[in-house]
Amino acid sequence: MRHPSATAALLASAVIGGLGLAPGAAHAQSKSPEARAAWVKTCTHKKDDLEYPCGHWQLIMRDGRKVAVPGAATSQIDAKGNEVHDTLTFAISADGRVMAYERKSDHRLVVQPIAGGPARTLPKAAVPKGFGTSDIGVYLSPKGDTVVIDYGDEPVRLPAKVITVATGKITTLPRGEGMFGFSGDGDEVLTNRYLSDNTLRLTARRLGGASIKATPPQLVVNAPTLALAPDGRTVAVFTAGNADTKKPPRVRTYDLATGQLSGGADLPLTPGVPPDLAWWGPDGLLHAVVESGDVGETAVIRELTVDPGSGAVKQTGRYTISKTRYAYVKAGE
Amino acid sequence: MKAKIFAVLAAAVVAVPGGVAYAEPQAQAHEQAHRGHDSVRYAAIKSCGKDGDAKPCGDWRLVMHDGSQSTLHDAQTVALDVKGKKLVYASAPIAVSGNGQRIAYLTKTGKLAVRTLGGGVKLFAKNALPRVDQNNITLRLSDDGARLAAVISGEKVQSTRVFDTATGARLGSVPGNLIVLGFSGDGDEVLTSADGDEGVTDLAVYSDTGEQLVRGTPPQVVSSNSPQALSADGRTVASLVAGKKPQLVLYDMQSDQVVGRKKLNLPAGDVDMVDWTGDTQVTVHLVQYQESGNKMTIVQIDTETGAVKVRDRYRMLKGMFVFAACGG
Repeated sequence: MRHPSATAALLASAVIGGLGLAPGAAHAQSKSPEARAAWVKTCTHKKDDLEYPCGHWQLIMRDGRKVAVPGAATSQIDAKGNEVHDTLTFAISADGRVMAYERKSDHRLVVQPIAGGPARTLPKAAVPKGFGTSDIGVYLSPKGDTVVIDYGDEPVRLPAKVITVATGKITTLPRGEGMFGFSGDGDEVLTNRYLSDNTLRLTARRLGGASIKATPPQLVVNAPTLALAPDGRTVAVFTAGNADTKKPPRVRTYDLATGQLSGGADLPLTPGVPPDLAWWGPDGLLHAVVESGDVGETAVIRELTVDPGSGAVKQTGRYTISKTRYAYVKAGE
Repeated sequence: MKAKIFAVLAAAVVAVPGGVAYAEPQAQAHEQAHRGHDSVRYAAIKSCGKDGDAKPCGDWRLVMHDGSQSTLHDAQTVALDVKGKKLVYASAPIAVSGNGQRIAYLTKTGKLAVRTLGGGVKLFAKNALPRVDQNNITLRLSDDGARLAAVISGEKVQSTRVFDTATGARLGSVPGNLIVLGFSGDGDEVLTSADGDEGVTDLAVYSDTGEQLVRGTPPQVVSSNSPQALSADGRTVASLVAGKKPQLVLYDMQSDQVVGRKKLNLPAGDVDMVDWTGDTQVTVHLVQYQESGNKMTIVQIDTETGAVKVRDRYRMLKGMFVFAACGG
C-alpha cells in the first residue's frame, strides 16, 4: 500500500483561511476535519414549478458542524457554456478529508482539503474542449490524492483521465473502460467494459501497472454495489435481496484472478435495501453506507462496518440530510 | 425425446411499425423446396390508420412458401376485451408452427383453434383459456405443431397452459411468473426464464406436463443474448450473439458449462427467432425492417462447424400491422 504522501504534501503546503470556506472552516483542524457528506438545497421557480439547486454546497462534518463551500458551483455548464443542473462534480474522499469540486467562478475543477487551505486547480485538460462539466464524472481516491474523470460520450471517444492531484500529471485508462471505483488503498481502479458479445468485463488496474481482467458471473455484474479490496483482486459484492420474498441483502467476495465467488452471507439489513456505497478499510472490514428516505423526506444515512466473510454488521454512525435537498454526495461516493 | 428428421421452426409474433399502403408481394423463387408440399411462411394482418395510429384491419392473411395467399376467415382479427368489446389497436393472437403446417388462433366465437394445412380445424374446449382480454393471450406452437402454449399476461399472474393440438387436451401448465422462451426442438419441453435470487436471470426447463426438469443461472454470455433456444435433448441451450462479431454459443444446463462457441458469418438483419431444427442445426430468422416490406432471411447454422447456409429469403407484405413468421 502506498502512503498518502501526495495528500500530506498537499496539506503541508496549505494556508488556512479565506479560501472558499465559510467562517467555521478555519476551526475545522482543531478537532475533526472530516466530512461525511455534502448537500445542496432545492428551490422552486415560481413561474413554472421547476426545481433547481440553490444556496451553497454544505458539508456535513463528522463532529456535527455544518460548513458552507461558497466557492463550489451548484450548477454545471454544458459544452456551449450554458448552465445545467447536474450535480456530478462534487466528490469527497472516503476518508472525509479532501473534496473535489467545480469552482463557481470559472468552472475549473479543484481539489481542496476539507480542513481548509488552498485549492489545487486541476489541469484544463480535465474538461477538454467540446465538453462541459455536465458531461463528466469525477471520482476522488480514498485519500484524495488522485482524481479520475470520465466522460459521458457515446460512442466513447475520450479515455478516462487519471490525474495526480499534487503534480497535475495525467495518464489515461484504456479507451472504452468505464470508471467503477478505487480500491480500498487507492492504488488500483476497478473499471468495466462492454464486450462485443454483450457481456460486461471487469478490470482491476493498478495505476501505472498491471491489470487483472475477468468476465464475472451475472450475480457480480448485476450487483448494485461493488468494492475493490486493497489487494487489487478481491471484489466485495453486495446484492439487494428481495422485499417481496423478505430475503435480506447479502455480501460475497469475488476473486478476479481465479473467478472464485464466495458462498456469501446474509446481512441483518432491510430486504431490498443493500448498501449503496462501500469501500475496504485497511483492517479488512468493509465500510458501507445504507440509506432510507425518499425524495421529499429526510434522508437517514447509516454508516456500517461489514465483515465480508461472516456478514457481521456494526453500525458506526448515523446522520441525516434535510428533506429540502436537491442533491447530495457522500464521502467515498 | 424424439430425434429430429427434418428442419422445422417455431413461430413468433412481431409488431411492425404501422405502414400506410398495401402492396402485393414480390414474386419469390425459393431456393429449395422446404417440404414436399406447401407450407405457411407467415401470417400477417394489414395496418389501417395513419402512422402512430395504426390498427389491425381485414382478415389474417396466410402467405405461403410459393408466394400465394389465403385468408383465415374464421379467425378473430381485432382483439376483444373480456366483455367482448373491440380493442381496436390490438390484434388477436395467432401462431404458425415451425413447419408451416399448423396455425393456432382464436375463432370469431372466441374459441381456441388449431388449423392444419389441408386438414381440419381442431376446436378446443370453451374453458381451454381463462377469460381475459384477447390481447393478453400469446400463442406459441412447437416446431411440429403438436404442442401449443398459451401464455396469459396482465395484472393477475396466470400460468401458461400447454396443450396437445391433436386432442385439444391440456397436458400441464407452467408457472405464470416465468417467461416462456419456447418449446424445445422436439416440443417435449418448454424453456423459460425467471428472476433468480441476487439479481440474476435463471433459465428453467419444464416438461410439457408442467414438471420442472432443470433450473440454473447461466453465464452472462447466455443471459445477455436472447432469445435462447432449447435443443431436443432438453439440456443444450443455443444463444446467438448478434452485432458486428456474431457467434453461436451453446450452453449445457445440466453441467452449467458453455460447451461451444462458434464465430459466424451472418447476413444482415435483426435476430427474430432462434430455433433448434436438428441435433446439430440451429435455424435463425433475421429480419430487416423496411418500409417497402420487411425482408426476412432464414439461415441454418451447423452447431458443430459454425457453417451458415441461407435456407430462404423473402420480402413480406407492405403495410402490415403485425406478422407471425414460421419456417416455410
